[in-house]
Amino acid sequence: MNQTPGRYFENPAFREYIFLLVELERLFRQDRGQTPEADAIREAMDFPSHRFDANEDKAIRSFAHHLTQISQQYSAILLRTEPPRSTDSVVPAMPAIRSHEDNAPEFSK
Amino acid sequence: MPTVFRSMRVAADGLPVVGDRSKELGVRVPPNPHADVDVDPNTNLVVLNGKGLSVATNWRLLPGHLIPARLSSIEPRARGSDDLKCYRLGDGPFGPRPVANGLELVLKPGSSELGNVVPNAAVTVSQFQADLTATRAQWAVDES
Repeated sequence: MNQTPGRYFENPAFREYIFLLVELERLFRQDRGQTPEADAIREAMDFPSHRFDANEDKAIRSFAHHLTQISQQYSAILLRTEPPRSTDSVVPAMPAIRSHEDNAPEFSK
Repeated sequence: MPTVFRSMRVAADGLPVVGDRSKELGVRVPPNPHADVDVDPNTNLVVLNGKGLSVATNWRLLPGHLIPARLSSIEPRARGSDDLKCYRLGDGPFGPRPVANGLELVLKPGSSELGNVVPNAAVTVSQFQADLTATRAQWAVDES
């Protein structure tokens, strides 16, 4: 049981699980952690998760713990992503800003 | 009987769903490419090699993708489906010993926290599944 061709990043199951873990965390950061896409990733994580030895398992746990901590910090400093808007749709109602933009250097428009 | 934890899908009666898919009370069997047990093709008996129903000494030690995300305030790694619940079976120390009729716990190599519930003798897959199913009423939700 748990025979692997190598350990840690020499173990394909270890690499695969890390990759899927990061992908799952990305979905959680996007509030998509309970979607069919996340379920599919979790399903794919089952197989490699049975192919770690005890030390690899501890390493994965530690990595997952740090990944979630980093993710929480990352989320805290990020503004929510909004679709890009043309300034023309906003600025006409704000003449002061329009005027400022008209006088701004070309590279900042 | 050792205390073991496992996260599983919940049925309408609050007990774990019985089946042969992941996150159910039962094991995946060949030809499922992700089978939890090996089966001897000549005898059709479960191979006694330590493979079986994966469990842990506490739900906090399960892989993060198997811990419901709603428990992330307790265990930050929790990134599992919120449709799962963490169940506990037994009340003794976690170690290699009988779990129920026909079943025993074996520890994963090098680990004192993770293990598999396996048959205690060579049995058919259907007998192993029946022995696991017989424990259904003894699993209690414990996410404390």
